[in-house]
Amino acid sequence: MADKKVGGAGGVTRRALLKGAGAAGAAAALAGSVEALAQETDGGGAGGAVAGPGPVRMTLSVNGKARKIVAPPRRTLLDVLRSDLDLTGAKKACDRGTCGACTIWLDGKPVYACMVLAIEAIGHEITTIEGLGTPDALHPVQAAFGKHDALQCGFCTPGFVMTTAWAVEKHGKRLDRQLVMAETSGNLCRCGTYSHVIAAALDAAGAAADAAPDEREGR
Amino acid sequence: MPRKVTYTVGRAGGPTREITVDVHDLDVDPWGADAELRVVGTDVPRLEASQKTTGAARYTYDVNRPNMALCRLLRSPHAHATVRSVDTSRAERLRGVLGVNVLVPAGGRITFAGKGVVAVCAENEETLDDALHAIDVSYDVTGGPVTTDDGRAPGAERVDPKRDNVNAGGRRGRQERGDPQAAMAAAATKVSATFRTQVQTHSALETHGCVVEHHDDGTYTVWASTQGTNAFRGSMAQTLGVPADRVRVITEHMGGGFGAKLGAIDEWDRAAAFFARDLMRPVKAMLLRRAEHQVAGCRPDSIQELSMACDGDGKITALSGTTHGTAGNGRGGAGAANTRIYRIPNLAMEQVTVSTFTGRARAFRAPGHPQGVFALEGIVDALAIAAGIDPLEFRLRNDPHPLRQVQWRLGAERMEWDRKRREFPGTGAVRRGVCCAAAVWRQKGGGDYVVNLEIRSDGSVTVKNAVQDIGTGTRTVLAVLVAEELGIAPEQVTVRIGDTQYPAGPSSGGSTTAPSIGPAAREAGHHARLRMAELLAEDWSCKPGEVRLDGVRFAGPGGKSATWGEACSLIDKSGLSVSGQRRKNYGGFSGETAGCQFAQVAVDTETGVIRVERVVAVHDAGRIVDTLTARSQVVGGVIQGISYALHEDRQLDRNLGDMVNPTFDTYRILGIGDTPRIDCLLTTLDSGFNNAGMMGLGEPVTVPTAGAVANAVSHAIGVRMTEIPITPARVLAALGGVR
Amino acid sequence: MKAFRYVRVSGGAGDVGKLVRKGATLKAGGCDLLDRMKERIAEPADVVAFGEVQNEYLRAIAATPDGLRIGALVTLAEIAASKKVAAHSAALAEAARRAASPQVRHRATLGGNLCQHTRCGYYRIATFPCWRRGADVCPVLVDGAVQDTAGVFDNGECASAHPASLPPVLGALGARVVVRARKEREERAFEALWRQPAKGVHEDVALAPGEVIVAVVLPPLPARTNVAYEAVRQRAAFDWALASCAARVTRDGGKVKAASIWLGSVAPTPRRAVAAEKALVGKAPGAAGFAAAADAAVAGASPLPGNTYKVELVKVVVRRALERAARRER
Repeated sequence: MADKKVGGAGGVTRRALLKGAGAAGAAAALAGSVEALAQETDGGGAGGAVAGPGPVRMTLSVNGKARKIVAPPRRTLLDVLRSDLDLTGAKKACDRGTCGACTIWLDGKPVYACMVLAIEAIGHEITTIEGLGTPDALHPVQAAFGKHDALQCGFCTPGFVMTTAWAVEKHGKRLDRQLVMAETSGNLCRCGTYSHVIAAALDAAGAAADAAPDEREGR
Repeated sequence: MPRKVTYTVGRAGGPTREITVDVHDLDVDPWGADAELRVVGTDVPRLEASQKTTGAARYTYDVNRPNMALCRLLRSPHAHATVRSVDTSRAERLRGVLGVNVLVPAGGRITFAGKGVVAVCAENEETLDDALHAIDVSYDVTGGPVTTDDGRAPGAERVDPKRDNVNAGGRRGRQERGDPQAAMAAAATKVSATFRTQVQTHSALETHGCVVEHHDDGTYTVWASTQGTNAFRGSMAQTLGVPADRVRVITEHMGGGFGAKLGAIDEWDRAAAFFARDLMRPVKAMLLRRAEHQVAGCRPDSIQELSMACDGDGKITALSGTTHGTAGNGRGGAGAANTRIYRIPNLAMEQVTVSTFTGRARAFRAPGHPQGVFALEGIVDALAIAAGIDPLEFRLRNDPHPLRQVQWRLGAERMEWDRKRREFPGTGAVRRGVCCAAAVWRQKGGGDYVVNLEIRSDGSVTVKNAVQDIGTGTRTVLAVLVAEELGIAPEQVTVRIGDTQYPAGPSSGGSTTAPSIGPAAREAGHHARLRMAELLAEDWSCKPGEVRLDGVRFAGPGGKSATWGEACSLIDKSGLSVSGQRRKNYGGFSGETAGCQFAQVAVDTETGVIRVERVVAVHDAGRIVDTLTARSQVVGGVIQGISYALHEDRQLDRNLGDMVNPTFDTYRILGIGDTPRIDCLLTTLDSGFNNAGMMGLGEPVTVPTAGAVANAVSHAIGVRMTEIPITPARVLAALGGVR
Repeated sequence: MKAFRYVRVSGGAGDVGKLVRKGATLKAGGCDLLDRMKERIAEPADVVAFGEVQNEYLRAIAATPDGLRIGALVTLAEIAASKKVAAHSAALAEAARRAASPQVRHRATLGGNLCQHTRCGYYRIATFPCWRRGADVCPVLVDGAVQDTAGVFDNGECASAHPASLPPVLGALGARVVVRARKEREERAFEALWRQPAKGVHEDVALAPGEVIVAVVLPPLPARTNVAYEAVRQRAAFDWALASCAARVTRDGGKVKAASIWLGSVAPTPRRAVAAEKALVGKAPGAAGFAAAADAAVAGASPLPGNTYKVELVKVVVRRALERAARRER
C-alpha cells in the first residue's frame, strides 16, 4: 500500500499502518515467572490464572443478565459498559473517581465504574441505571427526580439517581436532609441542581418534608 | 400591515407601564402583565426528564456508531515552546492505529499548555492511549508569563511578538462621564480597594467533542456537544469544504456548556472530521477532563483597583478605577466593575487586557458580570459602611431600577435582614454574616427564527426547530407555549429539536434562547389554533371567529363543543402544518433584567472554613414560562456562584505554565454537601419585548452570588474580603492570624 | 493505562507476596493505584488481584485477645459501619465515614488507605517534573503553585502531604501493623511503617519487596482513655483534609497520664506530634494544656510561603481534638 494521506487538511502522511503486533508481543515476553508462580501458588485450586495483557473472554452479570465480552484487563468497567455493551447511562465525565457521573451498583452498593476494572467485576452483580427503571416503568427515585426537576443538562443524573436510590433504600423514611447530603456527596452536578435532588430524595423516601422548604415563589 | 396594540407591561401589582407597539400582522397579540394563563407560569416537569433519569437519553459522548474509531490529541505540556521534532513512527506501527496527523510540525510555536500537537485515530481506547504515549515530541521550551501580574510586568515575554501583552483596549475598554476627580474631591465619604478574581473553568460534565460520520453520498452526520447546532454546522462544513446543507448536526441532549461550547468548531473537531472524511469511518473525539480544563475555555481573572465616593445623603457621586485581566493567549475582555446597576453620575473606568501563555478564555455564563458585580458590590458595601448607612438602605438610595426596588425589599424580608444585621456576627469561633448584591443582564433575544408545528388527526402535536436544549429546559418551554395556545397539556406536545434538518434556531448564549425562540412557538401555536377554528367552523357551519378556546375545549355557537381529540379528527391525512416566526422586539418595560440575592454565611474564624447557610434569590426574567425549570436555573446559578466565590481556582505553575489541579478533587466545585437552603423568588412580569413577554434567566441568576457571599463574609468577620475564592487561607490572612 | 497482566490467586497473602516479590503490583480497591496507572505514573506489567482474594483473615473485623483486628481488605464503608469498630473507637469510624465519598468507601480498603500516595498535582500529572518521580527538584519548592496538598513539615526536597484519613487515628490508637513477610506474619509499630520521601521513590510505606500489609491490630485502650479525630475540609464533604489530628488522652486523677497525638495531611507521612504529647502529659486536661500542646505540635514546622495558614490549622485541629477527647469516651 502506498503511503496514503489520512487525517490532515493536506500533506500529512500515514505510514505503515496496521503493521506488527508490538505491544502484545513485548508484554508476553515478560510473562514467564509470574505466570509459573501464579500456577504454583494455586495449590491445584481452580481459581488462579493469569489474564492478558491482550483481550480476555469474560462474562459479566449486568442487570441480571449474563453478558459475554472480550476486553483486555486494563479496560475499565465503565468503558466496557459504554462501549462494549452500549449501556451509556453511566457517563464518563472525569474518569478519575471524582465526579460520580459513572456511578453503578456493584453487589447493590454504589461505586464508580471508572475506577473498577471490568475483569474485577466478574462474579459480581452489576446494576446500571438501565437496570433500575425504564421511561415506561420508572423507579420511584427516577419519578421523583422528574417531578422535582432534580436535573438540568442531565449528564450527572443517572449517577445521582443510582446513589440516591441506594440511599433511599438504605435509610427509608429516616432519610433526612443531612443524610441525603452526606450519602450523595460523591456526585457532582455542574448545573447546580442539588436543592432539587434533596427534595426528590426526601419525596421518594416518603420522608417528612423539610420544615423550611427551599423555594417559595414570590409572586 | 403591522397593527398597533396598546397594552400593559411590567409586573402585575406594579411597577407597570403602558406601551403601544407595532405587532406583525401574522403575530399574535402580546399577553401583557394582566394575562391569566392556564399552563404558562406553572410548574411543568421537563419533557425529557424520564429519558435523562433512566439513562436512555443519548448525549454526544454516548453515540456509538458501527465501526466507530476514536480520536484524541497529544497536547503540549509547555506553555511557550517551539516544537523541535515530532516522531510518530512508533505510534504508527501499533496495531489498531488508523491515522496520525501532525498538527504542529517541527518549528511550530506553542503559546499555551494543552495545545494539540499530534492527532491520533485508533480502533479503541487502549490503542489510542498507547499510541499517544508512543509519540515523541521534543520542544525548545522558552517559558513565558501565565498570570496577569507576570504578563504585564516590564520585559515580559510577548505572546504576540508584534504586540505588547498589555492592551488598553481603546474606546471600548474605557467609560467616562462627568468629572470624577472633582466629585471625589468633594465627596463626604470615599473608599478605595483592589479586588481580585480568579480564573474559573466551565467544567461542564460532558466534555467538548463530537462524532463525525462520512456517508457514501458525500454528506456528513455530526453529533456535537454544542450550544449552537447551526453555528457548528457552518464551521464544520467550511472546514470540510462542503456546502452547509451536506452536513447535519445533531445535539439531542447536551451535557452542559455554560458558554464554552458556542461558535466555531475546535481543533479536535477538525481532527475528527478529517479522519472521518479520509477513513470513511465514524470518528469520535471527546476531550479528557484534563484537556477540558486546559484548553476548552475559562472565565478570565481580574484585578480591579477601584475608588468610589458618595455625598452626605448616601448618594453615590463617583466611581473610578482600572481593571487588568487575562483572557489567555487571545485579547478578550476581563470583566470590570459593573457600572449599570447604580446611578453613578461621575465615572472613569478603564479595562486593560493582558495576554498570557494560557488557554483562551471563552464566554462563561454572564461574561464579565460575576467578577464585575463582585467588585462593584464590594466597594458599594464598603462605602455604605464607611458612610455609616445600612448597606441595604444605601443600595435602595442609589438603585434606579423600579423592579429591583421591589426585589430588594422582598429579599430583605425573606432573609430577615434587619434582625440578622443586628444580631450577627455574634461571638465565639463561628461568626455569621448576611449581605446582598444586585443582578443585572440585558439580553432580550431576537432574530427571525421559524418554528414549525404539525398536528395530525390522531391529536399528536410536533414542534420542530434546530435549537438545542443545553439543560435549561428549552424543549419544555416550547411545549408549554404551544400547549397554552392549543388548550392541551405540555406533555401532549412532542418537541423535536437539536437537529439542523429542522429550521435554524438560535445559539444558546447570553440567556437568549428562550426569548428568541419562545415567541415563534407561541405564534405557531396561535396559527394552529386559527386553523383548528377554521376546521371546526366548517364542521359547525359557523364563522371561524365564532370558535373559541374555552380552557381545554373548543366551543362554538349553540353550545357546540369539541375536545382536542374531536377537533383533530377533522384534520385530513396529510396533517396540519403551520409555522411561527420570531418578530422584531417591541419597546419593552426595561432593557435591564433585574435581580438581587442575599446570602447568609457562617465563618469558622479559627479554621477559615466558610459554610453558606442560606441564599435568597429574587429574580426577574420577564414572563416565566415554566416555574419549575426556572427555579432550577436560579438554584443552579446560585450554586455555581457560591462555587466561584469559595472554591474554584485554576492553579497554574508559574514557571511551567500548565494547570496543576485539572481534576475535580483539586479543582473544587461546590458539592451537595455544601448546598445551602436557597429561597427562589421569581418576580415574573411581562417584559414587553415580544408576544410572550419573555426574557432570559440563565445568566443574571449567577451574577450577584459571589458578591453577596463575599459581602456576607465581610460582615461576619469585620474585614473586607476583596479576593475570591475566599479560601480558609484568605480568611485566616484577613483575620491576621497568618502573616 | 499501560497494558498489564492480571493475576488471580486462590491462595492467601503469602501467595500474593511471592508474586509481589517477582515484581507484580498489588491491587485491592484500586482507588489510588488505578488513578496512577491511568496517568502512567504507575506502569506495572503484572497486577495481582489482591482485592479478589477471599480470605477471612484479610476481610474480617475480629475482636481478639490482642485487641481489635481489622483485615487489610476491609473497606472504609465497613469500618464506618462496624459496631465493633465503633465500640473500640468511634473516632476511627468517624475518620472512615468522612473520607472521600460513599462510592470510594465501598471500594477503598484499609490496606489501600495506608498505601495511598500523595495527591500533589505535580506528582500525579506525568508531564510535570517531580522529585519523587526522579526529577532533580520539586517544582513546588521552585516558586511553584503551592496546593492544599502541600505539607508544612519536613519540606526538605518534597513538598507533599500524606492525604489518607485513617493513619492519624490508627497512630493515636497505638495500632500495630501486621505484615506478611515471607512465611510469617509480623507485627510492627505504626511509626515503623513510614519512611521519609526519597528521590525516585513513590511509596510512603516502608515495606520490603514481597511484604504485604494484611491487617491492623488495635490494642485494648487503657481505662479513662478517650480518642478524638478532627479534620478541616474546605468543602464539608468529598474533599481532602487540609489538616487532621487524632488524639488519645488517658487521664489519671486531674492530670493527663498519657497522650498520643498524630497529624495527617501536613507532612509527607502521617506524623506523630511527640512534642505536643510531652507538653500535655502531667498537665490538667484543660484549655491551657491543650493550647500548649497545640503550640508544641507546630514547633519545627517549615511551611512554604503559600501555606503558612496550615500551621494555624494544625494548632486548631490539635486543640479541638484534645478538647473532644477530654469530653467523650473512646
